[in-house]
Amino acid sequence: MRVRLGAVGTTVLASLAGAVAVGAIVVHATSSNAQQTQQTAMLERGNKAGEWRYWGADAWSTRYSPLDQINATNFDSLQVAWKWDAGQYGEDEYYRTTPLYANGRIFTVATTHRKAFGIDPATGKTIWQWGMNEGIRWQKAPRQFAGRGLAYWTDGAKERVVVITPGYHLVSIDAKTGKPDPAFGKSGIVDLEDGLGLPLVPLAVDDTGPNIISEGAPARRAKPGEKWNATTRTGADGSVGIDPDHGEIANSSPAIIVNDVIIVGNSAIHGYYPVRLHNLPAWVRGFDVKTGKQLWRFNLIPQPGEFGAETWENGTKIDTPGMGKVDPWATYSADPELGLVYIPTGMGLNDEYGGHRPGNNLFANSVVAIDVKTGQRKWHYQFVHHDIWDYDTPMAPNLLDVTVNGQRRKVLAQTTKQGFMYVLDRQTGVPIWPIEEKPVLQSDVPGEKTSPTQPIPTRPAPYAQQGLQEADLIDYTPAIKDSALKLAKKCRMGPYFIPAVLADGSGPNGFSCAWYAPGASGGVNIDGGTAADPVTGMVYVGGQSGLNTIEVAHDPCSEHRYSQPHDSCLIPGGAPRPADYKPNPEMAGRGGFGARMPTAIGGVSILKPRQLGGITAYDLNTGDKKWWMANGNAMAKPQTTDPLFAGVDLPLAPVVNGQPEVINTKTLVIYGSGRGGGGGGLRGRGAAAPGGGAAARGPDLSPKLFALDKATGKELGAVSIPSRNSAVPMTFMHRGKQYIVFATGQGSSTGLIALALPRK
Amino acid sequence: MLAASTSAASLAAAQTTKKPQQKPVSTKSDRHPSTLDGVYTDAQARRGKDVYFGSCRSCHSAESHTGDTFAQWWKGKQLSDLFVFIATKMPKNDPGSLAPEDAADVVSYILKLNKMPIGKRELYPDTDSLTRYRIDVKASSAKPNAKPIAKPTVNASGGSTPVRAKP
Repeated sequence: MRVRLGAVGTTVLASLAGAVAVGAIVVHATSSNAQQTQQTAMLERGNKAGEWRYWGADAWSTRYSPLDQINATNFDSLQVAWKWDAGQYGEDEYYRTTPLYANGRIFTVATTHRKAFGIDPATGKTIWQWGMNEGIRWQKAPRQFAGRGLAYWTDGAKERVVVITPGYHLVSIDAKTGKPDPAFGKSGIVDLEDGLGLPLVPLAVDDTGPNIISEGAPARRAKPGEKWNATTRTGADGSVGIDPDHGEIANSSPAIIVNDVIIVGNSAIHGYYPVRLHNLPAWVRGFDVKTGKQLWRFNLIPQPGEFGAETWENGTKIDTPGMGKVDPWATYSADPELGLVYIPTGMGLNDEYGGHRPGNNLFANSVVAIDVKTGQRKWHYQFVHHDIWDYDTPMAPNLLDVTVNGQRRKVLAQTTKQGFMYVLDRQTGVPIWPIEEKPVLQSDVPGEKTSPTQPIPTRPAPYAQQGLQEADLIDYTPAIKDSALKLAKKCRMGPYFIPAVLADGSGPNGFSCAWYAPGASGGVNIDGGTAADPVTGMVYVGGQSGLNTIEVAHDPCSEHRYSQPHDSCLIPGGAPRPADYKPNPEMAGRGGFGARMPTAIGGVSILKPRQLGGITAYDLNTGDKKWWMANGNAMAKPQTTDPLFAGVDLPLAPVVNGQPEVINTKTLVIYGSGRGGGGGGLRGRGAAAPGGGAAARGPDLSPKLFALDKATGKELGAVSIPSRNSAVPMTFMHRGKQYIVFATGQGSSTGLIALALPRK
Repeated sequence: MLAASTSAASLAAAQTTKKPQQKPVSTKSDRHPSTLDGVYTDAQARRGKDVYFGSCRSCHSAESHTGDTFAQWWKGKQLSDLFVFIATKMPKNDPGSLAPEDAADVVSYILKLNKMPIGKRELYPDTDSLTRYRIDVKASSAKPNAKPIAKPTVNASGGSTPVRAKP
């Protein structure tokens, strides 16, 4: 076993040099076009059968494996084959990575530094590791965590894993040795802050803290001659980057490699407690997989004169007030045959208030199909116009070939936070079933200019609660119905896309809250998402459903007129306090969500229990919903002592919140309930039934992995696992044995767990 | 976003979780016990750090719940206020999703961040027990933790005043 320790230096310059001084590459360049053609012919959707070469299993992001060694007859006998301890290499947030398996090795990333690892699939032992010290670039990176994963490429001879670091470097690593490829970029590394049309400047910091939303100071441009102070850990450490005055750039998801082009996007800092009125926009770029040369760049916020620029009425030049983000922070899908990559995009700056960016804001909240050779937009589809609900497009779309009305169609199915699945022709972007522009409620928040309509799919049916209307309310008795309606009417109601209101109730409509469903976490989000069966055309959506409220207020230490209620005045990243500043006791310390109005009476939700959230199966040949299963198969009757419900036999309601994390094999839908898992946390200490109380313990919510019948949703197996999965699992066949591997843990206790059948 | 039923469940669980056999720490004096009396253990705070890293760190830096900021928001309140706040309002993207035990562990970690003395017994994940404790802070921890970065005046009307001046 060979172990290569990552290089760590005292300064960025030194550490960069250390990281790339790796000696000779063992593998000789023997690739040829013939080899590559042969290699490509062996692949299905870019993946080799039984492997898991992409974050979503294959380039189509199906999360599908044709394997069947683990099946309904033996699922319950799965055992832990090995555990891989990521915590020994450093701390992380929650471990959100789905590893890859290719050509006999597992590849993953781990720790807040996003170190890369090769792992022996049979034993779980580390084969190699790689990491780099990014200095200030890491310290002030808004997304300091392991990330969603990495990308793999081979031409049949060379093998590479490609990592994007928190400090926004693109690194190509030899998959066999863990050493950076000297032929790629500068000794294996491309600085992704370069090539964006903005000059790089020396960077410095004034504090030792991170840069988290408005709670930390960003880096700054270094003063001439400024040096690093090793005692105070401030000053200029030799790092260069985009001038922080323009904003921050980040990364949280892997690249995707299509037809020898590495497709790279970016993430950004969170948008819900903004201080500064502008931020960097977002880009998609293509890089040559062999050399690291930047081939093209696509502006996700169109610059003046480009298609879509008119949808930003205040302009789109860098530093324009209200302009920024639209970051494609999620994962991507691609069709190698069509030569298209599909980029899901996030929203513009400020999650809940768009008064500084009037217009529909292309290409925010969209999927954009881009030609991987030229970087030209082939088509786009915007799911939310002028988003003020934090409805980023949150994961790679699923690609499928299905038969609709007798015609074979190449489709793209995009599941979203807002609870709708949008099914489009992936060659043209035209909806498979009508998506209608429907009139929506308009905002009464000063300066806000909501879109008059939003696109609403006619099918498939939504998988999460949409807004709040009278028909959604519990009505088991006239008194219950009256009480529920009375509570519901305290906040602004509507069918969907209900805009935020002023939290102090001073708006024209007088409301101090608006119902918010789905919320900012979906619906579907990156932690859950959707698996697709490329054989049958079925999709399995892992979502959540609930109810909350949304409102905005002015943060006294923010440049934004309004945002989610927050007080940035006591934190280092906040703007200066106004002269008349007084802490608002109601606002201090609160997150702003869920604080305005209860959503239950006596512990019973005012929402009727419906088959939403959990796992919803759809047949994309027809658009029909086929079956539904509560997350963890956990349902319970709400427990309440409220006399309002005396004598009422309350119906079962789902117990587990959070998105199930779903994959599918030849015969099974396999999922874990996710790190929420029912209120028990990753340690799975159980949860109460709805309504709560020690005497009302609900179903067994201990950590498990579940297997469902693909056609009916019937639970076929459930196996206990040491701790909850914290990311979507993956599966592969190695030396004749099928494994299921998933990430788990947080902080100092993170790792991978592999399950396999016992030896006969 | 959180399902309403789950939020209610978590709140109820936080308020009614069955008490362990251990009794809450008591003080010999008649004064109201406070967070300066050693109300959590180091092991609990270490667990709380892991939960914090997994569920809190992506939105919060230590500055938002230490020093002057912590004192301004929480000094004089009951420890149960902080516990219920974390158990029911956090994390932002999934409020109420922490188990009561996890919320209590996070409270311990926050107390440790504020240099509160470590005790011999763990905090109960129980609102009634935590109501007994007043949140107090050490004089040294109430210092401002950092001064705001010098920036031009906030333009609340949404104008274009740049916030970060170039050096």
